Amino acid sequence: MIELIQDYWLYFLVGQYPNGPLGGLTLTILLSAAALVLAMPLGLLLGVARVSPFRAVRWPVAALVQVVRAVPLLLVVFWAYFFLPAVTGVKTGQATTMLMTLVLFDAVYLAEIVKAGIQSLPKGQLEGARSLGLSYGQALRLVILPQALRHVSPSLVSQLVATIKATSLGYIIGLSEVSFIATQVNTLVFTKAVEVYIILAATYFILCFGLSRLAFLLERRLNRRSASAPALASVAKVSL
Amino acid sequence: MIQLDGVNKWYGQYHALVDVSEHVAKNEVVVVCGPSGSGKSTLIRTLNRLEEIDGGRIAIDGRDIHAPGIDVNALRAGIGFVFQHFNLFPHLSALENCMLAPVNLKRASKVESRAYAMELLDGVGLAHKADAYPHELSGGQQQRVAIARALAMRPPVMLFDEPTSALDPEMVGEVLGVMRRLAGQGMTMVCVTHEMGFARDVADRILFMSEGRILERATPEDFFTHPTHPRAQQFLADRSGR
Repeated sequence: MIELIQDYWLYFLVGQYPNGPLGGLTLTILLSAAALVLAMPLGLLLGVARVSPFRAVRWPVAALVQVVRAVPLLLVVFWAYFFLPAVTGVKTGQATTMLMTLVLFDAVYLAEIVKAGIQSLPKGQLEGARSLGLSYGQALRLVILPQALRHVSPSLVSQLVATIKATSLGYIIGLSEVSFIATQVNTLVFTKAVEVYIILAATYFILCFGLSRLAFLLERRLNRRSASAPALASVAKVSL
Repeated sequence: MIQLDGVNKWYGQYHALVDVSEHVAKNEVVVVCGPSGSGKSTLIRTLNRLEEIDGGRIAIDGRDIHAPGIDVNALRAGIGFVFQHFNLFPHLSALENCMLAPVNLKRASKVESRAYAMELLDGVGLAHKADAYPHELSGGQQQRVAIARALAMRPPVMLFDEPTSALDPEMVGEVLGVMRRLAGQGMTMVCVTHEMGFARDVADRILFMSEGRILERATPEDFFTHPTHPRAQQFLADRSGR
């Protein structure tokens, strides 16, 4: 296994870069990070739309959410890769395709989490805010979302971790992320499949477990600083 | 200051407010009482449009508050509202609760808002709890912060919707004390409450409601000594029996 790592660590880390496109673990991490950064505000927006007092806003978003949630991610990947270019005539690269797919898929799940968080609050919170003269938007931003996001932060973190794992589906459209590279290595070496896939699994585990531990520690520190969530309040302000 | 003309409200088939007409003058303290389900809370909630009405007219300072194009946020900013369940924001400290609206509605700078919020918290006897979060406060303290929060917008009118009903008996006094002092300062107040002692001492007028109608309007003295409507007599008899 040591030999395997010695021979292929660079390939595993960055793919064919700089002689080809950037790939490997670096691509996986970049793709996950970009998906998270883009999906979070979109998920917030969709989540808020899900509980909008206006039907014209609520219903189309509900339809989108239900459709995407009822379809396997793999299918959304295919759909984005084959169907979208055929219809629009614009051919997008594998990385862009995968990114768009992840953002859409993630945003939809985040929206449901955000919605649940908002609905977990007593009605008096919105009334209290509105009675002071705050607009609906201000009430959401200053009173509702900071509390709602705090309530559902464990679910948010699970969803973010799921995103990292979901990048592996890029394999199916030939995106040279870390799973694809591992398969390539396996083909080259041929006799060490078990070792290759143990290394791959360990890589994902360190990434995902590390992130959820980090989130846990961060949350505990916030909890210690105050009984509730002024720090998260500022996060919500920024991401809106 | 507050004028209601033939106000009607339905919840589906249920007629919650029936042709309610009333006037509340500036500096007046009006107590609304009546059995539960009589429409008291619904009535007070229509005054800042937490509830919409289905007929009639409500004017505050001569402006029809249900007219199209009215700025409901500006309207509410000028009316303090105190809820039965306080509705403090649990993620903010007592002081931050009192600063949120003035700062975000740009009524005053952060420094001014903070100073005024501290002054108000001091006024309700909670300056030492300015940095406490709502869950660290007793019910009575939470309600006093809620009153300070409403006052932070410097509203000319205060509405109280059963402000002591969710409190343990020993905490009722501290909240009523704050309300008494407000009334003494000349605040225009409409209070839905079951606290008959408060009504007797502080109210300029008492409105008795039953089944969505105002059945009796009287000074506290008249109301408690010789109520005219049979339902009001019954209501008072039931209370004094306790």
